This record gives sequence, structure tokens and C-alpha cells, in this order.
Amino acid sequence: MKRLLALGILAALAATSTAAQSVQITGFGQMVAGTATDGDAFPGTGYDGDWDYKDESLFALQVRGDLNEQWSATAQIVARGRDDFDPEFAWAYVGWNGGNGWSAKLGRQRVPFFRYSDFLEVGYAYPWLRPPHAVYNATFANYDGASAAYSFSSGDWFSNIGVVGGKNEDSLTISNLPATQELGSLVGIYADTTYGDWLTLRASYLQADVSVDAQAINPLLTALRGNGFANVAEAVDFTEDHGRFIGLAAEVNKGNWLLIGEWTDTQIDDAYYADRTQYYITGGYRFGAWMPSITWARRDNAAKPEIVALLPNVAPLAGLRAATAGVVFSEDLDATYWSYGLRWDVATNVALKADYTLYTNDTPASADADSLAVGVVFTF
Amino acid sequence: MKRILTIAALALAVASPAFAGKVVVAANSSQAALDKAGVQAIFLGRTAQVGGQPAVVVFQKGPVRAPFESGVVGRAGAQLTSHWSRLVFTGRAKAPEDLADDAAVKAKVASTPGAIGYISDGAVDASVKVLFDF
Repeated sequence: MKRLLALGILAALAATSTAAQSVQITGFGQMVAGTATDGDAFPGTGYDGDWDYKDESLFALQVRGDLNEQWSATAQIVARGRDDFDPEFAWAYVGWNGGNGWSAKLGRQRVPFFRYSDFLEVGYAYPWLRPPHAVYNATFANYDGASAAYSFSSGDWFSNIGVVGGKNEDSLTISNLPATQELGSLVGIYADTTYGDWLTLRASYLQADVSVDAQAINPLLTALRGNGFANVAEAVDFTEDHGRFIGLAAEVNKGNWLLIGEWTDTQIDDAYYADRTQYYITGGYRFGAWMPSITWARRDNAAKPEIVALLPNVAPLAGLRAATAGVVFSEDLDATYWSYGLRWDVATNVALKADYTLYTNDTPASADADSLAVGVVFTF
Repeated sequence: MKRILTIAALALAVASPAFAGKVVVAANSSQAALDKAGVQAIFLGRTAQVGGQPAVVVFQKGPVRAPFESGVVGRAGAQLTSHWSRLVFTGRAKAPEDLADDAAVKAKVASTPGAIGYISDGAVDASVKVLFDF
């Protein structure tokens, strides 16, 4: 049904385009083949020991209609191989362009967490085969709401500052069981500035009230409450708990050199979610149409042992303590990624990419993995 | 032999006035002349208006493209496409047009308020107004 609806809207918009010149259709996509060359699974992908041709492949169409000089309507529909190419609206908004740098959007849009959040799936826009998973691993990318932005130049600086507000409701998987999440009262601010067309700096701050209903966690919550430890259940559970995100990024694109660095810090109070500090540095050099790059990335996620310590350390509670500790410490992560990437621009709108990533996880009882992926990315 | 050819081709490219061009808008546009930074801002999608109208940025595939992209805009080919894909797929700018040659650009610019393009020197006529010389 959702697929029919998306296709119907596209067809209707496409039909209008022949009548009105003010409708623009553009698109992008990528076809990627990948496999885990070592290990049973590779983080951030669906790769195992077999070659997979769907997981990171996607195809997107964007339709923009200008309503008048100031207002436009845009829909971006992305069909991801991971979802069996079931199309989904990644963006769907009414935009206002007030002139003098002022603009606003109302509808579905990207949460401006990261430097590359806005063009997360536009492979043509970045050097890697995939944005570094150590940082780009948020369980959701969109929100429904409003945003306003102001852009301005001063001397050699071109800057953008924006605010967002809205909510996100999504389904996800926790420990292979279905879960739903809701981020209410999502608000944020971001600013980016480019100097002399070679240096870009960016900062973002977002906060929300986070609720998660996870089938994998609910039995533990029930057991805690049943044993009179509602306070512990509260400390584990996400119930409109305050979460906040800070992101900093810098990018140098000078001559043939490319340097990108990004650092993020995420915390959610009163929930078993670990404090996450995640970052990466990419260095690349352009040889004509070829751009090899190396990325070093880290995930440093500190679990919250104080939640387990809320339970008295007595024999009758050993089972409950072990179950609570299991959930809490599953959040611990001490992982490093080394990625070797290659991008080859074969045409002004087609590029071939390859990536080989070594993943090491120093968290006890977790597995290392390596992955190889190659793909073609395009835009039209 | 190959080296001599390359040198000859280079000399020709440097000497040849055929590669010089002009940034143009419709003859009746109210847009004032631009400096290089002003042209860059428009062709990198940072200025949303031309002559008080929403900008319609027009690239072209003719021989004037290479000197314009590398000499004026400062980004060319795949890097320019990459830059624009970041603007278009985030709604920061409307996708630019990419027309075949001087004639197509002239026709588009002359008939579209807010449109701005670049053409070879020899193609300039009364239907367009020159804003920048390169």
C-alpha cells in the first residue's frame, strides 16, 4: 500500500511535469556489492560471509514543484535494497525561500546531526563508499516538523545557521526483536561556515525526550517492577528521558588534499543507553579522477554500571542483577575502524567506489570483522 | 612527437580567443555587473536571486565550459556535480540546468527572468546583457 501510494504520487508529479516547466525531477542512487571478508557480520551493514548486492544499494527520485517565486514543494523518495526496494519518503516538505538568505521548511526532513546528514544517501556527494559508521549510526535520520535557516556571506566566509523542531516516530530492532521509538520535543540548532571555498566548520546541538518500547527489554522491566524495584526499571527504561547530541566537524578541501574530521557526543539521562563519544578522521588525496582515502574511526561507549548498583548485591537477587547487568553492559563499546577507500570519477555524474574496512572491537565477548564493498554511484 | 603536439595544443589553448567567454542574463534584467566572487556565489548555488528574481543557473556543455568552470567557478567536473548534489538533494538550491551550447543558453537566458548563463565571446548579441568577462 505504501509502495503504491509513493509510486502514485510520483506518477502524478511526473505527469504534471510535462505540463508545467516548474517541476524538476532529479535523482541519485548506488548499486553496491559487499561482503564480510572476516567475521560473521559487519557492523552497519547486513553483510555476512556471502556477497550481497542489495544491502547498501538504493535508488532515489526527487521531485520539486515551484508553487510561486517563494514557495516550493519537494518529495524525495528512496527505495533501499535493505528494505527490498520498498520506497519511502526520506524528505517531503513545503519550502519557503524568503530571499536575503532566509528560508524555511515544513514537513519531513533530515535531522541535522552530522556534517553529511543532509546528503546521507547521496553517495556522489562524499568520498567514501559509506559515511563512517563509527559516527553515522543513529537509529533514525528523519523528523517531521519545521526548520528555519539563514545564510549570509561576510568577506570570504559563507555561513549557514538553522534551527529545527519536531518529532520522530520509528520502528527499529533491538536484540533482533521489534521496538518502537519516539523522540518528542526534538529541537536543535546547527551552524556551518565555509572559508574561501576550502575550509568548512560545523557545529550542531540537538535534544529530545526519548521513549523506547522494546520487546527485548520489557520482560526485564516487568521483573524489576514485580520485585519492587520500580526505581531500577525507571533507570533502565526510556520514558520521555532527556537526550542530547553534540556534533563538531571540520573539513579541508584544498588543492588535491581532503581532510575531514568529525566528533560527536550523545547522552540520554535515566536510561540504559551508554554515553557515546564517537569520531573519525579521513585523509584523501586526489590524483586526477582518482581519490584514495584512509579513515580512522572510534566508538567509545561507556555503559552505566550505577544502574546495576541500584540493586542490592544479595543472593536472592542474583538472577535479576545478572539480567540487568546483561542489558546495561551490552551498551559497552570500545571499537576502532580502519577504512581504505577509493573513489574514481568515471564521468561528471558517475563514480566507482571501493572500501575495505577493518573493524576491531575490544569489548569483551564481541567479534572483530573485515568488510569489502564495491559500488557505482550516480546522480541525474 | 607527442610532446610537441601537446605543447602546440597548449599554446593554441592559451592563445585562442575562442575560449574566452561572458556571463550573461536577459537584456532587460536589472542585475548589475558582477565580479568574480559574485559569479562564483551564483554558480555555486549560494546566491538565490539574480536581478531580483529567483536564480535559474544555466551551465552548458560547449567548449566554453572548461575555462569557465576551472577559471571562474574554481570547481570543475565531478567536484562541481558533487557540490551541486549537496545543495539540490537537501533543498538548499534548485538544480541548475545543463544545456547543449551557446545558442541554447542564449535562448534560455533571454526568455527566463532570473536565468544566468555563460557563452563564448562570439555568441554575444543584443538579446543578452554581459555581467562578467572571462
